[in-house]
Amino acid sequence: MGKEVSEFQDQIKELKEFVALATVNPRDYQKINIGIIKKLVNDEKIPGVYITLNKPYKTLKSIFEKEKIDSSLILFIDAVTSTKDKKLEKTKDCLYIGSPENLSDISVAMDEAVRAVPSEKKFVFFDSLSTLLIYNQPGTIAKFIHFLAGKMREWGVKGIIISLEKGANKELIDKLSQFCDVSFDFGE
Amino acid sequence: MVNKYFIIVIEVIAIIAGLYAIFKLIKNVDIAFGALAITFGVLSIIWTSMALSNLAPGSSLRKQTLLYLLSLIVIVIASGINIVNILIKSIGLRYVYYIFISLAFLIFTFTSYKVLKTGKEFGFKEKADEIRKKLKQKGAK
Repeated sequence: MGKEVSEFQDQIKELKEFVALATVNPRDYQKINIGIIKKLVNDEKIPGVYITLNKPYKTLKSIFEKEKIDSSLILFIDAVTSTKDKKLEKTKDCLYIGSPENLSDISVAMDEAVRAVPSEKKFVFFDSLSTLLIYNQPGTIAKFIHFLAGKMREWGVKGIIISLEKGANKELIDKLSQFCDVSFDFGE
Repeated sequence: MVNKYFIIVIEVIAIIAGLYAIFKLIKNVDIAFGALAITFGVLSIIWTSMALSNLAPGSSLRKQTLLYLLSLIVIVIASGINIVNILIKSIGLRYVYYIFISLAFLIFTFTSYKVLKTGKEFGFKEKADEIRKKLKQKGAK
């Protein structure tokens, strides 16, 4: 494995609010995600919003339980689980968007969820940019991430955007890095 | 920043000039106000259509915007019918106006119901209360 979560934490620990773009290699993807969330939720006791486009909420929840991550502090937005007629569905812990292409509803859901979190310190974890690229045009993604980075600053959160290693996305990731305060490559 | 304020000033002047022109050209107050309502209605339709083209297909926001646009169109049509009715004073046209204005409010009611549903779907109050309790517990420990 390349860089460790602790190195990432060292880089961001002085920052009260930030927008970080973290690129990970597919092998370590889950380990790194869990490491970051564990640090935020279990160690720092910060509540937040987890937007998943990669793994369904149910899978995430069982992984978090296995890893002893306190998911009661997390609001989930699941854009990967397919819902009936791609319509919104809601449970107490999770809002199902129905489709990763539906960026309008993802944006509204994020805004509502972040503002609902009753804490001054909160995080937003966006998992992941690479999945978004499968369903949307690069230009649309660039606009969306620019919007997301702006929103993260407005919300005053610890914002983490995860992406799989550069490869085919290199150009887009380089472009998006300029919107972020920290770019961290876990694959190096 | 100066440029932004300059644009706002120009816009305000343009609106005042437009209003002045409407009331100067149209002597009948009912028609003048009708024309004014249509002017704002058309502007609202243009802005809503622009918003609609930016929203993702199938999103709840898009569906709401579409219903809102429909209500606006029906209201503008009703206002147009009302102006024509003032000019030609037709009983039949008055009923057509009533039908359109009722239809507009019917669509507004449906839009409001959609807004209520969306509010419930996007609201996280229950979970937020749970997080609040949990944080209090953690703080107490």
